Amino acid sequence: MLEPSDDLRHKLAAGPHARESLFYNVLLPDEGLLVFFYTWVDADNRAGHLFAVVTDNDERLAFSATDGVEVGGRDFDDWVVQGLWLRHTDPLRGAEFGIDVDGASLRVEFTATHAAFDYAQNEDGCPRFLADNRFEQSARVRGELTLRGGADGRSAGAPLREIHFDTTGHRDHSWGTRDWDTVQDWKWVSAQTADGHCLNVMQLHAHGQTTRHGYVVRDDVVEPVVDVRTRVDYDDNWYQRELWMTVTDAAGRQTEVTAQRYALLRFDAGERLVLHEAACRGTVDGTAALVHYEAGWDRSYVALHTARRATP
Amino acid sequence: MTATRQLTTFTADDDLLHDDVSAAGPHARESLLLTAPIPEHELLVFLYLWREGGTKWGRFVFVGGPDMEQPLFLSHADDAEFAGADLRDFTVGGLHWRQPEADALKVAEVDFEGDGFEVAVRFEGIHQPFSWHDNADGCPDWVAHDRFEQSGVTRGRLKLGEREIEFSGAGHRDHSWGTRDWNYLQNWKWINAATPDGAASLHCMLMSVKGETLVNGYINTAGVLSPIVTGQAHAELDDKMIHRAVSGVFTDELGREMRLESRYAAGWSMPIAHLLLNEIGMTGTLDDAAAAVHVELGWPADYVRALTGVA
Repeated sequence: MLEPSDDLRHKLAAGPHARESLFYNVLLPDEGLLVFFYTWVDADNRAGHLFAVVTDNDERLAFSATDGVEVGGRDFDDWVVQGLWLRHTDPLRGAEFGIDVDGASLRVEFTATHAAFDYAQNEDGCPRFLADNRFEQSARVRGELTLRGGADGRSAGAPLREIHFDTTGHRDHSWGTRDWDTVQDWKWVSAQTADGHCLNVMQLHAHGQTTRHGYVVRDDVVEPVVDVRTRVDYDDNWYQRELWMTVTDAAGRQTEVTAQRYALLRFDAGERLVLHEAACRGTVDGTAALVHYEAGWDRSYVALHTARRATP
Repeated sequence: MTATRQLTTFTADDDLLHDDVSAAGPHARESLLLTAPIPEHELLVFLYLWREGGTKWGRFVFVGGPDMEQPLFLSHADDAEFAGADLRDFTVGGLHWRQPEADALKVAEVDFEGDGFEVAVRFEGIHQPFSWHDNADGCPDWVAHDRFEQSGVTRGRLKLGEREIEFSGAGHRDHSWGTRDWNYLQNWKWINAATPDGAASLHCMLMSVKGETLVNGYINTAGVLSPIVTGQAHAELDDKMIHRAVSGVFTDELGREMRLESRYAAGWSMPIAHLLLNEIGMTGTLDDAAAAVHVELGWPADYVRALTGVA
């Protein structure tokens, strides 16, 4: 059972993979953009962030990454990491966050549309290598994104873009051990329709076992995920292009999800892994939805498949 | 034997080489494997040979024991001499393998001697060979053009230095031909179990590939061989990622369910290319009936190294 204090920092046991992290997204398909907002802190009060605004194929219009920033006892009700800020103002319900870095600025108001769901509620629980616990939550997100161009050199000279948005979004918050290299691959999917039908699914593949985590909200009823079936089409970069997914929840309800990628961010994690973050247009039971589909892979496995596809 | 529906039928020539699909091309391979777990003696007899690219032969002969790190016998030849008449009666680096035409698709007799070690095993299939093409997930073209799997009863003798053992029990074999590209596999569970009287057996291969799990295999019981449609297996791994126990529930096209329970008896980690194949003979049950079990878990060696610090 989550407590309001779970919206704040947790005491982490010292260790090489001790970590607490917060992730927020904003998907803007009409602009062709994925806004990726991620910050973390370790057991020694060293924090980092990864912020990106991308179009497709990891084309970065803005990008900022940092790590090892001393933050002392600063908490998530007033969080700052080198230009990134965040305030958990309404425990487990609302937040404000933003960033001001070279090339972009962002301000978002996050208002949850359902109670936060933690993976401890799933039959497969929250695996120890992933976190002590972790919650996921969909929301209404309102705010502004300003792109000034030039953040990475490739988009230098791009005109100023000011984008106001009022759409759906998602966040997660995890604390404990994050040992990325335990996992061979995974799928993490969040999807929301405008009328409140939403879900989060994480299918992990580690130690030769497949575990399933997440929830489905339909008609304002939150149910844990119990089974997931997926089919995926990949492009020549081994980036997920299209997804078909059937989710069964604890009430026996089946939810059909489709997704077609329009933007993608790629970055490395751990010693072995790469994350492919796809922003997608999609459907949930036939209704238009925003879908964020993250795929994690062993980098050598991705290299194998891209090499195969490059061979005539 | 009765079958649920018309399954793939092999011919006697399928005991032989399939040069048309296994002799040339990238990853061309043909292989034979025979495993005889002898859990009551904490032994696993493992006999494996292959031809790569149509000309290069290799073989593994090992006997695993209670300690995964101390095989009781091990002989590996990666560029071995082949002699014989196709695959009816031949040797690969001294590993003598016979598949008499009179008992085609049913019997294999294998023997090997060297360094104070002797083994002779007769395998007799308890059902017709089964093709993965009869499963919904099929036989992927990077595994093989085709492949058969067969449960059987085993009888043989073993000499390990001063130790001489006569045994009879249950085992398994496969024969695969075509392309074998190991790189597609993220990990897998190759599960084989049979009761010594031949009344029941199970074969299940769970392959993790491209983020999905493929299911192949069969249930053989009450005289009916039927493709499996679901396989749920759980392995208890020790701190070196060695499976010490494996349990599972499997269902076939007839809706029949078979339960497996098994515990470590004998094994060895076999390195092949970038992979580790943990070959373990196990004491087990199939639906509560005593069974000899062999479970192979395959892993990328660097994944095992990352999780355990050893590989």
